[in-house]
Amino acid sequence: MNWFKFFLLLLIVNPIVTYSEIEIANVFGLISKNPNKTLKFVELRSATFFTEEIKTTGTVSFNDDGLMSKYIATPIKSEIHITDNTLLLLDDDGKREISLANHPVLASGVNAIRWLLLGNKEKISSNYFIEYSNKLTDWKIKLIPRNSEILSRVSSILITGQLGNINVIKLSKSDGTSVITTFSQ
Amino acid sequence: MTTISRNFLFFIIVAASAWYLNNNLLVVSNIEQFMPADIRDKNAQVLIEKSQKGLSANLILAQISGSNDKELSRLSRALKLNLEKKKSFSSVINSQNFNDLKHEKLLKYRYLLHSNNTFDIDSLRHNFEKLLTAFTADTPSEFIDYLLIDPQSVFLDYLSLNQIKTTAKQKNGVWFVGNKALLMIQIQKNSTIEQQDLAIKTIKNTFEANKPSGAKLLLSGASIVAVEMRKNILNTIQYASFALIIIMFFVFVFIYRSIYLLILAIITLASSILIAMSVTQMIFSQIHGIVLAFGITALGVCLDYPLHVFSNTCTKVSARNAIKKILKPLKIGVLTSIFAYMALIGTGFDGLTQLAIFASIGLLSTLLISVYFLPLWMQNTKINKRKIPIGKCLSLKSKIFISLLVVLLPAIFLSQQAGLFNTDISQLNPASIASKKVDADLRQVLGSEEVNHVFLTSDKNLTKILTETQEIQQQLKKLVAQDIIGGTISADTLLPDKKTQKYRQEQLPNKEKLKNNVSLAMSKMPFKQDAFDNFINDISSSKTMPLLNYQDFEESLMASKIQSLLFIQDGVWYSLIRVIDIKNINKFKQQVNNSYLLKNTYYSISAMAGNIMNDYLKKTWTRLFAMLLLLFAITLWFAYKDKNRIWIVLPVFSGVLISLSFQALLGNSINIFHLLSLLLVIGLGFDYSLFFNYENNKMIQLSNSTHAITISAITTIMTFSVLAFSDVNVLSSIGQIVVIGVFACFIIAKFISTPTNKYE
Repeated sequence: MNWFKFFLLLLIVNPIVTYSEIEIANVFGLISKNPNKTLKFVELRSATFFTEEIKTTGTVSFNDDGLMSKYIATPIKSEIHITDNTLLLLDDDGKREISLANHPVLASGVNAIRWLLLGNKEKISSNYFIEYSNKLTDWKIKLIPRNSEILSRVSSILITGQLGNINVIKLSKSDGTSVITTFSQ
Repeated sequence: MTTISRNFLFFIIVAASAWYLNNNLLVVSNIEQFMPADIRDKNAQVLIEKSQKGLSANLILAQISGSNDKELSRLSRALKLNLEKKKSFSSVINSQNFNDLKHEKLLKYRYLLHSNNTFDIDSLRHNFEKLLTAFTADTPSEFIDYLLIDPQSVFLDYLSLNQIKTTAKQKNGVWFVGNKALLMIQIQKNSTIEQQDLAIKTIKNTFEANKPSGAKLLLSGASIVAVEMRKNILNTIQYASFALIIIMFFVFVFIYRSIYLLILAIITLASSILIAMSVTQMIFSQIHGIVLAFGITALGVCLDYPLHVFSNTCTKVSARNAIKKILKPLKIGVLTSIFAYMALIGTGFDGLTQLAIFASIGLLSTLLISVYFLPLWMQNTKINKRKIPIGKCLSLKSKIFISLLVVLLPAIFLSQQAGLFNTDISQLNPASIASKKVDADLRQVLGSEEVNHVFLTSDKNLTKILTETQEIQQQLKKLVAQDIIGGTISADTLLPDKKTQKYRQEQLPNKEKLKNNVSLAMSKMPFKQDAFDNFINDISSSKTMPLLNYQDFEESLMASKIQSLLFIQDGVWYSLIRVIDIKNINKFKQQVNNSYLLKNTYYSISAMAGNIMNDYLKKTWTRLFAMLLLLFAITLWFAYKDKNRIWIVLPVFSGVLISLSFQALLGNSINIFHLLSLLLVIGLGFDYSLFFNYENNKMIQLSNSTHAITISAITTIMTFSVLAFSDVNVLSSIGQIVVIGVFACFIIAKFISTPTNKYE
C-alpha cells in the first residue's frame, strides 16, 4: 500500500472512528457545548384550517440560563422570549405574557427544545420516551410525550442533527398537522 | 325526697347535659349575632347580610414573600394547582388567564352580551390577519381554536370588561406587587366557621408541603379574622378557666382549709355551666364563643352562692341553718341578677338574648344547687375557716361625704366627655390594625370592590332594575372620568337588559351577507373556505336564539360574579353597584350628594350599621336605667322597714359610674359590650351591697358576709383580669369594665353598705 494513500484514508476515517459509536449522552453534551448560540430558522407550520403551510423566517438565540428568544422577521414581525415558565409575545398589538404552566401542550414543545439545547437529558427523559438512532455523525432523536394529555395533542417531536448541531425539529400534532423548523448558521 | 333520690336526680341531670353537649355542641364566632337582627330597612338588611355572608366574606387574599421572584411564582403556581383540586375552594386566581374559552357556557351568547358592529370586509380582514400573526407567534393552540370561533374576540372583550381590575404586575405568569406574589382564594360559599378553619389550615399545609424554604405566606380576609377570633376566644376561655381553678384552689386551701369544699364549689360551678350550656344549645342550636367566654366568667359570680353557704357555716351552725339565714338576700341577689340579664332579651341582638338565657339558667341552677344540694353534701362537714377582719364601720357623716365623692366625681367627669359612646361597628372588628392594613392594601392592588361604599337598587321587575343600574353606572362613569374612583362593577355589563340584547340581535348581519364578507375578507389569505364556518353559524343562530336570562349564568364562568351583584330575595330583585378604589372620599361623597339618583341609592355600610347600632345602644341604655330604677325601687321597699337599707343602692350606682369613667380615662369609647358588662357589675354590686347591709347589727353575720364577699370579689376580679388582657377587643372591654366596676362596688359597699357607726 502506498503510504500516502494510507495516510489519506486514515484522515478520512478518523472522525468516523471517533464518532462511530456516538451515544445519545454524547449528543446532548455536544449540543450544550456548541458555542454557536444564534441560528437562523425557517419554519413551516401547517394547520387544518389553512390551505397551505405558513412559512416564517427569523433568528433564534438561547443562552446557558435557559433564556430563548425568537425573532420572527416574516411574514409579520414579532418577538418571543421564553424565560423559565413564561412566554412573552411582542407584536404590533403590544405585549402578551403567557404562563407555560397554564398551557401544557405549548410548554411541552418549548421545553423539549430548551432542554435539548441545554443538554438536560434527565428532564427530557422524565417527560418523554426517547428513541435514538444515528448514522456516523448524524443522529435522530424522537421524543414521545409520557403525559397522556399532551400525547393526545402532540404525537412526537423529531430532532435531527449532526454532532453538536441541530438541523431540523419536527413537531407532529395528533391532528396530522406539524411544525417543521429548519436551522442554519 | 330522700338523700339518695336527690343525689340520683342531680347525677341524671348533669349526665344528660354532658351527653347532650357531647353530641350537639356547636360553638360559633361570627360577630353578626351581636348585630341587630330586626332591621326595618329591607335594603339595609340585605346589604348587611351580603357583607356578612356574600362572596367577600369567604374570600381569602394571600401574599407570598421572602424569596426571589422565580421561587415565589413557583410557590404561587403550586399553591393554586394543589388548592384547585380540593373541594373546599371554589376558585383560586393568581393571574389574569382565560383558558379553554371554547367550552365556556356563555360563549354562545357573546353577541347578546357584548356590542359588536364590525362585520364589514376590512374589519374582518384585520381580524383574520391578527389570527395569522397569533398563529405564527407560538400562541397556544387553545387560543387559536377560540379565535377561529370568535375572531373579533367579542367574548374576551366581554370577560375583560367584567374581570378583576388589578394593578398587580404579572411576573412569571402570576400576580406580583413589589416583591410579593398574590393570590385570591375563594372558599366555597355558605361555609361554616369549622369549614373555613379547615380550609385555612389546608392552605397553610399545602403551602408548607411545597417546600417554601424561606418564603412566608400571609393570609387576610373576613374568614381569617373569624377563625383567628374563635381561636383567641377559646384561648381566653382556657386561661380564664385555669385562673379560676388556681384562685379557687388557693382560696379553699388557705381560707377554708378544706379540699372537700373546693370539690363542692367546683361541682356547683361546673354543673351550672353544663346545664346553662345545654339549655342554650337546645334553644339556639348553637352557642356563640363570646357568650361562652363571657358567660362562663360571669358564672364565676355563681361561686358567690356556695361561698355564702360555706362562710355562714361553722362548727356551731350547720349548712342547712346557714342557708335558712341567708336565703332571703341570696334569693334577692339571684333574682335581681336574672332581671338584669333578662333586660337583654328583646334588644334585637341574637347574641345578647343567648347570653341572657345562658346567664339566667346558670344563676338559677347555682341557686338551686346551693340551696337544695349543698346542705345535703355538707351534713357532717365542720368548717374551720380563717377569719377575715371586718374593719371599722363609718359614721353617718363620713358615709355621706364618701357617697357624694364616689357618685359626683365620676358623674361630673363623665359629663365632660364628648363622644363617649361609640356606634362605629369597625371598633368591634377583632382584626388587629396591622392585619386590617394588609387586607386593605391587598384589596386595593387586586382591585377588590369597596366593601363599605355601595349603591343598591331594588324592584320586583328585573328589567326595571337593570335599566336603573345602567343609569347609575352612567352617573358613576363621570366620577371615574374625574379620577374620584377607580371604576365600578355592576350586573348591567354582565347581564344586559332584554331591550339591549334585542337591539344587539337585530344589528347582527344575516348569514348570507356575513358569509360573503368573510369570503371576501379571506381572499389571498391561506385560510380554508370553511375555516370560519363556526363563527358564521354562531352569528346566524344568535339572531334567533332566546334572549339570555339570569338562570343561564348558572355554572358559567361568571356565575358567582353575577350572583354577588344581582340576586332575588322574597320576590324582590336587588342590584348592587360596587365601587373600586375610592381615591378621594370627600369628593366622592360630595358628588353622590349632588346627584338625586346616586344619593337615593348610595349606602355606607359602616354608617348604616352605626345608625342601627346607635338606635339599639339607646334602647339598651333605657333598659339599663330601668334596671337601676327597679333596684332602687326594691331598695326603697326595703328601706320602708329599715332606713339603713337605703345605702344598698349607692355602691351599685357608684360602681357603674367609676367603671365608665375608667374607660373614658383610658381613652376608650363605650360600646354595646361595655354596656352589657355593666349588667354584671350591677348584679354583683347589688349582691355585695345586699350582704354587707343585711343583718346589720349582728356582728357574726357581718363577719360571715365580709368573709364570703371578700373571697367572691377576689375571685371575680382575678378571673376577669384574664379577660381584660385578651386579644379580642370585645372580651377585653368586658374584662376591664367588670374588674374596675366590681372592685369599686366592693370597696364602696364595704364602707357605705355596712352598718353605720352611731357612736362617733
